[in-house]
Amino acid sequence: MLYEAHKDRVYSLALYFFHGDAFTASDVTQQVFLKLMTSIVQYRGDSNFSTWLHRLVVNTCIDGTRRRQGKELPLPDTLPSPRSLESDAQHAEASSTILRAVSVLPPEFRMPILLRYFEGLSYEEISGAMNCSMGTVASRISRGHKLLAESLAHLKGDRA
Amino acid sequence: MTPEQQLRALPVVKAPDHIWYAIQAQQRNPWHWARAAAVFLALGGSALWLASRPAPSGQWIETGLTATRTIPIGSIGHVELAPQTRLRIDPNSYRMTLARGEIHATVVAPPRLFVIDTPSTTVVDLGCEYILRTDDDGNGFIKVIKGWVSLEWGDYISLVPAGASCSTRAKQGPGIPYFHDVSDSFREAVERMDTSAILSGARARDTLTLWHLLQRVPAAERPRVFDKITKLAPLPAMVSRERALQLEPETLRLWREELAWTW
Repeated sequence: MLYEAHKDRVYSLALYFFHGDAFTASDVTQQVFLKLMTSIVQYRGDSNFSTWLHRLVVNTCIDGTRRRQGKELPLPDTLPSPRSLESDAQHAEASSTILRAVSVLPPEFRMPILLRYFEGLSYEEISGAMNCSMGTVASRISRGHKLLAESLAHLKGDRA
Repeated sequence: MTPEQQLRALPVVKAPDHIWYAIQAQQRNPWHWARAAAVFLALGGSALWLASRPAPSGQWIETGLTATRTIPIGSIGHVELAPQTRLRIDPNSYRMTLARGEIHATVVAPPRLFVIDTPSTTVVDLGCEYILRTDDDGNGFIKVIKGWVSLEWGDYISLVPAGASCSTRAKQGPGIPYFHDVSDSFREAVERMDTSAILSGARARDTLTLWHLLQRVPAAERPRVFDKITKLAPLPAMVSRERALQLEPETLRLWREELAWTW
């Protein structure tokens, strides 16, 4: 079933995009699948299904960002890193740190970084999902890397 | 581990079960309404049926002075017609012609599948909800509620995102879009295409308006529009001043993609 096959990845992507905000991630997941189920009959196979699904997620997340514009929630002290799924405490700590660093990225860099590394999409697939050129994807990922490195250095500095 | 490796190693979190219940509830809702409508019809509500019956493809549909009507667009959405509206549905595609009046379209479909022609623009749906109005002279107005709409007329294209509106003029095509929260003076400046007033009143978010304005002003005026945009939002590395002033399509597209994050 379509929902069963994709729900966890859609939810996780939205959760990581929205700073671990489970309420918004649930809302995004619900909207994505409602749109998907309503318009699946129009899917003519002229684009990759995964690209189409990711495009729905990206657009719904961007709409969510617009709705939250000006009322961005403050970052929680501890992001809801899925510690329960982590068997290794050190790994859980690393997940929490990287999630905090991703959370402070502006949305235009946060989404391609998540699509690239969490979802494992190619630049071409990201360009299809985000409806922008591969050059833009490359530039955003590159700038996202730099911001991520700065943010991680800052977080390590805070802990030291 | 590098940051990239850490991101790749992030676990997939199980979606809570309540999401599926919410989806099911939303999907069931139309049936509740259908049952309610059936009961209503049985009680003599035939007027309701007349107002929502399937539209005859290829024919003009007109609503009266006070009547409204809802027309399904296949399975991708619906269009609500306000009173005194005249609309035609193309029998062979998801295409309509709005001669006059007002419609409220709600569409969930791949971009560019649903199109509405008006006397002053072609409205191409990019997956969204909007209100479209056109008067007897062919002038019109669109207010986008969700998603994006592309207004196309010859060489003119205006891209209107959620929260923005745009006027269209008969034989001139679409104007330039602006956000609903602009001041009255800014909106009036946009409507009369007063470049100086637009530039002096623009906020960071109004790069939407300025990006379109750049393509409508004479070549000699472009530098000051360009300079205003770059004052409000840093120029992305891949956008050169020279190419932007020449209105090079790829450069403008890349620039819009970057600016759009603030729209």
